[in-house]
Amino acid sequence: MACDDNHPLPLLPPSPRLPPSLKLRGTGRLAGEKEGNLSMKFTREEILQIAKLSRLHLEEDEVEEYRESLGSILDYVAKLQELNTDDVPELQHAAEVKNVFREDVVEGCDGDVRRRAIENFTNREGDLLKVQAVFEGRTE
Amino acid sequence: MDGLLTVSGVKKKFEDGSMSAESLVSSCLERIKHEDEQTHAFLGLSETAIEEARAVDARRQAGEDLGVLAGIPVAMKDNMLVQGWESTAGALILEGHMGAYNATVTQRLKDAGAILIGRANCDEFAMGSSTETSHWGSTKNPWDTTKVPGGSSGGSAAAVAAGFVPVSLGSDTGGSIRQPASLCGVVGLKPTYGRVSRYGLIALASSLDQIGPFAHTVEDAALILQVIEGKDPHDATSVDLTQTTVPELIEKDVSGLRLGLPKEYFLEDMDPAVKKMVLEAVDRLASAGAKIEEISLPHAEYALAAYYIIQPAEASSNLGRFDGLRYGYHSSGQNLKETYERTRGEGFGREVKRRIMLGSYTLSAGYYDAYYRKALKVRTLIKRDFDEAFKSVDAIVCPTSPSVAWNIGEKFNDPLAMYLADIYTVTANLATVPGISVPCGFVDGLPVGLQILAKPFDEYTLFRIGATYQSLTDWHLRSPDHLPT
Repeated sequence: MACDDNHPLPLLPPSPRLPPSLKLRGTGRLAGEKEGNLSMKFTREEILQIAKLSRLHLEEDEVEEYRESLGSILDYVAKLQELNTDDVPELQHAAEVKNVFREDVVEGCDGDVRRRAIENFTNREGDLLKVQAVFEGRTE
Repeated sequence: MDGLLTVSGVKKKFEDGSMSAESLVSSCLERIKHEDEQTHAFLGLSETAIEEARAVDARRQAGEDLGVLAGIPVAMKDNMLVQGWESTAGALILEGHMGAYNATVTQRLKDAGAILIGRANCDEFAMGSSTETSHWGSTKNPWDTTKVPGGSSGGSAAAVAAGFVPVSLGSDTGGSIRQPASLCGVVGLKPTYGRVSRYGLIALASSLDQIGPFAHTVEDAALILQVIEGKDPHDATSVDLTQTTVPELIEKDVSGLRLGLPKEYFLEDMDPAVKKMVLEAVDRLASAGAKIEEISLPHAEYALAAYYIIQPAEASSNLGRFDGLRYGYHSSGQNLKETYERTRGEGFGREVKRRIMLGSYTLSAGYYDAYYRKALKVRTLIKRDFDEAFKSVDAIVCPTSPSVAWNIGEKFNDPLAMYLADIYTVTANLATVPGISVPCGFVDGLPVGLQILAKPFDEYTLFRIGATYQSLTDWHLRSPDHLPT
C-alpha cells in the first residue's frame, strides 16, 4: 500500500504458531479438525493488527471468523516444520529466465488505452488522479 | 459426435459452407440468454460479437486468408482484460472497472479471428475451488445444478460443458483450470509456467498463475494453446519457445511411453469410486501400449501446505493495488488510510480478505522465515521430486480431484475443506510443470477427470496421451443432455 504506518512490526507472539502435536502425516487432512483438539485461535487484538497491516477494515463477526479460520489454516501449514530444509535453496524464480533486457526507450501509450485508464479513476481533476492528502495531519 | 460443439467440427462446417460464423455466434448467444439462468456461467456478453462474426463471413466470402480461429466463439474468464469490457475478476472491488487494453491472450485470440463472446464467472480474484466466492453469485454444474462446477474458472468450464461455446480460457494458479474441467467433464490444460503470457491477467500469485484453455477435445485445447502461447515482451517470464504446439501432429499412439503412477496420489481418503475410474483409465492406456510404473513423489503431502503459504503471500502483495482510487469500488474515509481500509474492507469478500491477512501474516517480520522462506524451500523439494520422477517416466497419471462435484454450500464455510479440493493439482503449479485433465468416467452421473503431468514445456506428451485416450473412449462425447442415467 502507498503509505506506511508507525507500527511496522506486528504485535504478535515472537515465534510461529505450531500446533501442539503434528499428527498430520500421510493423510493430507488436518488431523485435529474433527476432534477439535488442534485448532489454535488468534486473539482479537492479533486479528486487528493483521487487518491493520493489510489495510482492511473488519466487521466484528469477521474478526471472530478469522480468529478461528486463520488459526486452523496456520495449524495445517505448520506441517512443513516436519521437514529439515537446512541445506535446501529457496525456489525464487518460477521461470528459468535471467536478465530479460529490452531497449531503453520510452514507449508511448496508445491514446485510447490512456483515455480508458483515466476513465477508470474514481476521482479526478482533468486527466489527473485526485486523492486525499498522503501525509497525516495535513489538509488538501 | 452430433451434439458436441467443437472447434474442429465447426471449422469443417464453415469450410463446406453449411454454417456461417454469424449463425453460430447468434445461436450461441441465444442459448446463453435462454439457458444460462440455470448455470450462471456468464457475467456478461459481448455486444459486438454478431457484427464481428459477420465481418469474418464477409472475409471468407471474399476468399481472404483467415486466422485459425476465424469465427470461433470463445468465452473469457472475468480476470482477463478485453478492451472495453467490464472486468471484475468476480469481485465487487472491481465493479465497473473497464479493461483499458487487451491482455496478450485476448489480442492473440482476436488476431486469430476468434469471436470473444462473453466473460465467464469465477471465484473472486480466482480464490476458490467452487466458483462460490464470486461476488456475482455462484456458477452451477451443468451436469447437476445443485452441485458446484469447481473453480476458480468454474464459469469457463461450465460454459464449455453446457455447450454454450466450443472453447474458453481460464487461469490456473493451483488447479483452477484442471479441477473445474474434471468436475464439469471437459478437457482443461494448465500450460508450463512461462508458456503463455500473463500480461493483462488480473494477478493472483504471479509465480504460479498460467492461462490455458477448456475444450471438449484435446486437439481443440492444443489449437487454442498454439494461438495464445509464446514470448511476449510485456511479460518477462514468458519464454521463447523452441517447440510450439501443432495440433495436426498429435500422434494417437502411446506405445512405449512410460507413465508414472505416484503412490502418494491415491490416498485412502479419496473417493474410492473416483479412484476406480482413474485406475481404469490408466489400464486403458496400458492396454494401448503404455508402460505403467509406480513412482514416488515423496514431498507430495507437503505441497498443499507450501501452496497455501506461497499463494496467499503473493496474493496479499498483488492485491495491494486495489486502493479504491484507480479503479472500481470506492468508499471514502476521514483520511487516505481510512479510505483504503474501508474500500478494501467493504470491496473484498471474506475469502479474499482471509488470504490477504494470511499472506500479510506469513510475510511479516518474525514469521517470514518460518512460513514463507520455509515454503520456498519446500517448493524446491517438490520440484526436485518431479525432476527425479521424469528421469524414469515420460509423464505422470493421477486423479485431478479427490472427489466429484459436491453440493453447493457444502464446503463454503470451511476454508480448509475447500483448500483440500486442490490437493492433487497444486503440485504442478509449484513445480511449474504442465498438466491436463481429461474426462475419464462418471460417478453417480458426475464427471471424473484423469490428470496427466509432464516435463516443463512438454505439453506435446500431454496431448499425445490425452488424444490417444479420447480416441479409445467416449466420455468426452457425452453432454449433460445425454446423461447415461
